[in-house]
Amino acid sequence: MKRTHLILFSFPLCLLLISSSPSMGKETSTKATEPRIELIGAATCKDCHEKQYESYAKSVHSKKTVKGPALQDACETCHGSGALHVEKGGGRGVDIFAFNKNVDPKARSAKCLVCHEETRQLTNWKMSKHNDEDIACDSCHSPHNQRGKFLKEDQAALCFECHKDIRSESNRQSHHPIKEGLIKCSSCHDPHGTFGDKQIKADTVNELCYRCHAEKRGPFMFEHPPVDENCMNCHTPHGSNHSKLLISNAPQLCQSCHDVSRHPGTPYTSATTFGGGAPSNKMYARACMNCHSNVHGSNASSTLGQSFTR
Amino acid sequence: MKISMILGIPSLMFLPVFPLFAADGAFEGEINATGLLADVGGSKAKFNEYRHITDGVYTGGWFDYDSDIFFVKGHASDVGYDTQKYGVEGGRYGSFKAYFDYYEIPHNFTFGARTFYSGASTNNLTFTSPIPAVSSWKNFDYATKRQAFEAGLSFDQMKPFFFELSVPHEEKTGSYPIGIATGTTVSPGSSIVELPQAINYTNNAVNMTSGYVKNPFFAAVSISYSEFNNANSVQYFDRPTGTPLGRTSTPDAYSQPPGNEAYKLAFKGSAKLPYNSQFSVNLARGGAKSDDATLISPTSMFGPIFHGNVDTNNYDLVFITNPVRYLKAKIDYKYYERKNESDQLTIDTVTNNLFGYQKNKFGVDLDWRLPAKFNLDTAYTNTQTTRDFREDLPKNTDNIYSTELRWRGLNFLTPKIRYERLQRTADHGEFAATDVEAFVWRYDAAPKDQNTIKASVDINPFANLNFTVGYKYLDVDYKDTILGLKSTRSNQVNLDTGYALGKIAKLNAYFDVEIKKDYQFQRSFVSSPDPSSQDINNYNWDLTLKDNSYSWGAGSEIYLVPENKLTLLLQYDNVNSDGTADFTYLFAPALTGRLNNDNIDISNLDDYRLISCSAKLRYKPSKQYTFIAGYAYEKYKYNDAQFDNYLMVQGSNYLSGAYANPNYDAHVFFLAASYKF
Repeated sequence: MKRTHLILFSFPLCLLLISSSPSMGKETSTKATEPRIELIGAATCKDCHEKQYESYAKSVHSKKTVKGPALQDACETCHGSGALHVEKGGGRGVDIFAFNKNVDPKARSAKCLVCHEETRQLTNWKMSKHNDEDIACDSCHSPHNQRGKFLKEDQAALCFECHKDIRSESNRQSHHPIKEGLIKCSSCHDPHGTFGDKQIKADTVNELCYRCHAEKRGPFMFEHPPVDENCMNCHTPHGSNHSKLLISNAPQLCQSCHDVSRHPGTPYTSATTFGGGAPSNKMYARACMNCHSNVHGSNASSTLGQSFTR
Repeated sequence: MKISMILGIPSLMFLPVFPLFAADGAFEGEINATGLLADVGGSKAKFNEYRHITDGVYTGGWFDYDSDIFFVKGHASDVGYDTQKYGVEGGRYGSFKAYFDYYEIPHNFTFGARTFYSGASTNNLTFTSPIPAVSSWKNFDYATKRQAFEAGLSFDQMKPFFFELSVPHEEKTGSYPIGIATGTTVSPGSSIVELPQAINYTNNAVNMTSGYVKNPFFAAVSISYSEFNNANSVQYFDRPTGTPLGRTSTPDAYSQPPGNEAYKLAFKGSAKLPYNSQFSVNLARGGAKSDDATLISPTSMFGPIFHGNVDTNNYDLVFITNPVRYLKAKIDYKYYERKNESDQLTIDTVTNNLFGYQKNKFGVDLDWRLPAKFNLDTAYTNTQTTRDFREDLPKNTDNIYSTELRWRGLNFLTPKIRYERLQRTADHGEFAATDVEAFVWRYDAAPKDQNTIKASVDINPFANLNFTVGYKYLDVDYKDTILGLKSTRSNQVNLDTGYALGKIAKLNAYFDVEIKKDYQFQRSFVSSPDPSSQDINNYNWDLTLKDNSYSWGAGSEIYLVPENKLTLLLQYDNVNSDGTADFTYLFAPALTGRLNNDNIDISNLDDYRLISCSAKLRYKPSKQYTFIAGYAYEKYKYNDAQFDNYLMVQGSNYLSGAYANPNYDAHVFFLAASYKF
C-alpha cells in the first residue's frame, strides 16, 4: 500500500471521528422509533386493503418461520399503527406510514432495513450508489408484488427506468443479450452496493468479464497490455454500433494506438474497400482482425505471437 | 458438469420431499404453449443472434409449492429450443435453500458461410490443391452455443452464521471466424485466409462463502476456483498460399486459448461504529495459471512449454460515516496488483514481456444535505497506476473531481446535475526522435483532461403522467498526444414519457440520441516518424470519425374490455446509426491517381437501421386462462463500407462470408395459451 494514501485515508477518518459528537445531531438510525400505540391487527387492514393483504399472505413476509412481519405486527410492522388511520376513515397516507414520494426515501428504506440490514445481501448498502442517490428500497421492490425478489417490473425494464443511457446502448446492434432476457443487469452488477466501481460484482472489470469469457484469461505468453488492464479500453459492455461491442471501428480503433511504419500508419480510406481502387485486406471485412485474430493474447512464439497473428 | 450433477441431482431428488412434511401448503403453477410461424428473409443468423425463433410450438411453465415452512419452485421455458431454460429451487424458510439451473445461450454470427476447407467446425481444416471455384465451396455456420448448469446450496440454519456453495459448469461449442495471414512460411506476409475456428470450451467452477452477519459485524470468507479447458489448443489448417502450400508434411497451426485455472480467496468484513459509521474491508488474493506448448512455426510446430502464472492482490478499505444529519462522508482506499510471474522465453530472438501493473486509489466523498431539500455531493479521487513493461506510459496519475447537486423540493419535479473532471498525467518513456514511440501516446494511458456533465429532470405533474429528460456531455482532450486519438466529444439526450389514460389505456414513448465525434492525427511513414516534416513517403493525415445513434419508440396497452379481460398491446421501436469517416491527407502529393481529399471519405461506417413493431391481443376470460394472438415484424438493414461489394476471393485473399450480409426482414405470427392452476 502507498504510504501517502494510508495517511490520506486515516487523517480524515480520525478528523471525522473526533469532530463527531452526539450533541452535533441525531443519528439517522435505521431502527423504527415511532412510539408504540394501539394496533388494529391485519384483519382490520384486510377489510379495506384486500388485494394488499392477499399478496402479503402469499409472500415470505407472512411466514412464521422467518423473522419478519408475521412474528411482529403484520401490516403494522412496516406501516405503523393503523389506529388513527382507521379513526380518520382511511385515505392515502392519512396517519399511516405510506411508501410513496411524499415520505423521505431514507425513512422508507429504514423500514425495510430493520430486518434486512442483518442479511449478507445488504451489508454493503451504505456503500451503494443507490443509497447515496436517495433511491429507497421501494423504488425497485414492492412487498405486495408477486415477482421474484418483489421487483416492481422485470429487471431490465426496472433498471432502464433510471439508466436510460444504458437502455439506449443495449438496443444497439452489437449488445450483450440483455433485451433478449438471457443475461440480467444483476449478472454483473449488485444494486445493493459492492466495493467495485459501478457496483460490479468483482474487484476489477477483467475479473468480472473472465467469469463468462474464461478463454481470455490466459495467462498468455504474449499479452496485449491494455487488454490485461481493462477490457473496457476497447469494449463497451452494454451495446455498441460496432461489432464485438467495440468502442470504435477497426482499423481506426487499432490505429489510434498503433501508428508505426508500414501498414499500421497507412490511411485506410474508401479507396481500400472492396469497391475502391486499391482494395486492402487491412481494411475490408474484419480489417486488422483479418490477420491479428489473437488480439487478446497468444502462445505462438516469436513475431507470430508478438503480433497476435497465430 | 460432473460436480454440478453430483450436487444438482440430489438437490432435485430431495426437493419434492419437502411438501410431505407440510400439509398446509398451497400449490400453484402455469403451463403455457406458443405456436409460432416465422417467415424470415435474409440473414437468419442476425435475426436469431441471441434467439431461436422458428416455426414450431414453444412450451413452458412454472410451479410453486409454498407452505409456512417449505417451498419448492420450478420453471421451464422454450423447451427443446436453443434458448431453453429450466430451474428448480426449494428449501425451508429461514434455514436452507438448494437450487439447480440449466440454460442455453446461442450466439449466431453467420449462417451459410462458405469455405474450400473440409472439416469446418473441427480443429483440422484440410483441402486438396488447387483451391476450387467459389461455387464448389462448402457451406457451414458460424455460431456458438453455451450450455450452462449451476447447482447451489445456502444454509442459514445456524444464524448468524451462513454458508453458500455454488457449482457452475459451462460448455461452449461451435465455430467462430478468425483470419490468418499466410504469406510466407514464418511471417504473415500479405495474404489472408478466413476460416472457422473450432470452439470447444468447458469451464468448471466452485464458489464457497461462509460467514457471520449480526449487527454490528459482518465477516465472510470466500473461495472460488475455476478451471477452463479447451479441447482444441491448436487450430490446424492447410495453407492456401505461400509455402508449404496445402498439406505437405505438416499443417499450419494457429494457437487457441490455453486451458487455465484460476482461484480467489477473499475476506470481506464490516463493523458498524459509533456515530452511524461503518468500516468495511475487502481483502482478496487470486491467481491464474496456464501450461501450454508454444507454437513455433508451421514446420516445426511445438516449442517449449510456457507456464503462465499471474497473481493478483486486492485490498479495499472503506469508511463511511453519517454522524450528523447534514453530512455523509466516505473515505476509501483501494490497492490492486497484477503480478506476472509467467515464464519469460526467448524464441527466434523474440522475448515475451511480463506485463503487470499496480493501482493505488484513494477517494473522499462528502454528501451535504443542505437547506430547502438540496443535496450537494462533492468527491475527489486520486489514482496512481504503475505498469511493468509499458515503456511508453509506465505511470499514470489520475485526479478526479466531481460534484452533484440534487433537489427534492417538489414531489413532482426532481432535477439533478453532475459535473466530473478527470485530469490524467503520465510519465512517458525517453525515446529518440527516430523512434515513433516518441510521438505516439496511446489513449488507454495518455494524459488527458476529461469533462463529463450529466443532468436529468424527472417530472410527474400528475400521478398518471411522467416525463424524464436526461442529458450527458463528454469531452476528452488527449492534450499531449501527438500521434493517435486526440479527442472525443459526445452529446447524448434521452427523453421518456408515460401516461395512463384512466382505465382505458397506458401509453409510453421514448427518444434517445447520441452524437459522438473522435479526432485522430496519424502519420504514414517509411523512414521518419517525426510529424514536423513531410514528403511523399512520410506524411501526416487526420481523421474525424462520427458515430451517431438514434432510437425511438412508442407503446400502448389499450384495455378494450375492463379488468384486463381484453387488451391490445402495440409497440414500435426504431434503432439506427449513422457513421462517417472524414480523412484528410495533410500532404496532398501523397494522394495519387484520381484520389483527392474529397473522394476518400467513408459515408457508411457501421450504418444500420433496425425497425421492429408488434401487435398483440390478449384475452383473459378468467384468472386461469390467458390467450394471446399476435404479429411481429422486424427489419434490419446494415450498410458498411468494409462489407460493400463483398468478395469471397480478392487476389490471393480467401474470405468465408463472415458477417457479410446481415440484412433481414421477418414476419412472425403467434398464438399463445396459458393455464394457471
